[in-house]
Amino acid sequence: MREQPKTRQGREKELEADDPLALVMTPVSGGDLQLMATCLIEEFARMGLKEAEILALFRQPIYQTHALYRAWGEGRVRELVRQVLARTGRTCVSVTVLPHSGGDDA
Amino acid sequence: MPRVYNWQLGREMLYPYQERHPRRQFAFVFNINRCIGCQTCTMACKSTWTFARGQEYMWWNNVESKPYGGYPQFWDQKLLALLERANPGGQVWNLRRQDGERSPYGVFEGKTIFEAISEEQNEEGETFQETSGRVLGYLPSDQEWEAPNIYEDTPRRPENHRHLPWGGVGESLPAHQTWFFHLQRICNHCTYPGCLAACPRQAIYKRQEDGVVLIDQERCRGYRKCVEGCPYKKSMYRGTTRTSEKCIACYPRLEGRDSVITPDGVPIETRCMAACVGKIRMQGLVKIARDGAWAPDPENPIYYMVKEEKVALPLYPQFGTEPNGYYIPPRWVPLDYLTQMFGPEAERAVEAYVCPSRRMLALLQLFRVSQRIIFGFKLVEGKKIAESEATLLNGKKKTLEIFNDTVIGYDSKGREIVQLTVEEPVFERSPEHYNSI
Ligand code: SF4
Ligand code: SF4
Repeated sequence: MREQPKTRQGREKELEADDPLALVMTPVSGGDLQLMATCLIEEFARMGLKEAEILALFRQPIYQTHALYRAWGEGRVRELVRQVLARTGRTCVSVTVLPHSGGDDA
Repeated sequence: MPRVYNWQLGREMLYPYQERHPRRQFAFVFNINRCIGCQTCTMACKSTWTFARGQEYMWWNNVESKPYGGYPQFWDQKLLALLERANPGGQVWNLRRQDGERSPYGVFEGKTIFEAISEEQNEEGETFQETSGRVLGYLPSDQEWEAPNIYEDTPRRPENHRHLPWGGVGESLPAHQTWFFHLQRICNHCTYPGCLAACPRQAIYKRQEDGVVLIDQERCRGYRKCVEGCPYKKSMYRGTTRTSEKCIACYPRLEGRDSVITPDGVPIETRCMAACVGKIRMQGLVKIARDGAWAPDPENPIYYMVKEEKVALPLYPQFGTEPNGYYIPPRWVPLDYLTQMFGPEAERAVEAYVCPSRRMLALLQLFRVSQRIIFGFKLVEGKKIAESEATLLNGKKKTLEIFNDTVIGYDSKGREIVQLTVEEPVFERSPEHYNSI
């Protein structure tokens, strides 16, 4: 029979507070995820985004909002987007940018 | 040590140099509420200024997800802890002493990074003033700089990526179940820079024409005192040149001297501003009076948001550097957290944003419509066209009036850049909600 190592190795070791690469987070109390999602949807609606565009910001895994999508599922997020849009509408603006002799580089 | 006036603190404070002010100051407003954390700004800066050898870990622009992210890791918690240790329980604001432009946020009665230094002791029991320190700070470790967005990614494989071969093993790890917001950070080109104060070589200077803070690469010897002394950790050391480097506010664009981008010579916003996908950024130059106050200029969008509407607030004003970056605080975040980060006016700023005045609502439309810096804006009033609803901090709803207003932006030469007209809001009702207004 192979002898068991005497000390724990690699990832099996206990968390050490001074290890800068240990997985940690800073819990901060308070906050309301439903309110956060509502506010975010209102913001995007004020910018003129449509239902599908807002939903995409939750559906795409690269955005932090995806955490809500994963936790709640598509149905609940879509429903919330619809409810908010029905209340607020989405603001539309027409824009006229006047000609500029320069380039269009960003 | 000389005494200088810091209007964000509402009082005089100690600073190693006499007060002197530029004619104009580079300043910006970031609307945190609309940032999607796409990092386009970060990459725009990286691909312009920090793509060379020795700059690999440098992100002059970074976007971190609060409350758990930070670059370098824990930079703000560490600074706050140092200040608290130097002045336990004393880092407080006195709101009864609010007095117009001189102290719009009340008076900060705690200690700044320049003042706390006399209390803080090294391991030998000497105060920093007896040694070489001029600013309370710390030098982040290499690991803290290493991974700008560590802990901000989900540890789980997304549901809609089941086809991917990787990711099956992370599913048992906990995912963050907390509120968050993205904090966009660049150098604040502070009025009283910590980096400049800390430099023993006087290699750091603030330009007369625009208040941009630069490191003279000829004078710099890489002592890294600026890295230690900048509370926002926006001065960074480059091993290959053995000098420190920092954001230069894209000054060739700011000066309007880039003949390709701006042949008509008008100032252009920085790369990170111009690239912002979420349209959250607006940058400008504000006029500075001889005494360091902002000269009244209500047509200037930055002046209007910071001084008139007070909708945008400085980041950690209690550090004492009088930063020139301002933030519209996120409207869903617990108030005590916002107050610590943006000062005691955070609640009022959120209210001013959620239910904006007519002029403010119009100005919000001007974010990111042009890369030319908007020096003035004007509102042409139209008819009321609709009502909308906004959710307040406490979750209650408030009615917002929408007007068919037109907002016009002007460049540095007073020429019109852009016109925007608010049209009737569109309500697309799904079958379940067709009758819900
Ligand atoms: S943010 Fe830091 S690097 Fe920038 S001017 Fe202020 S103290 Fe200096
Ligand atoms: S480009 Fe704009 S929206 Fe994207 S991360 Fe940067 S500040 Fe946020």
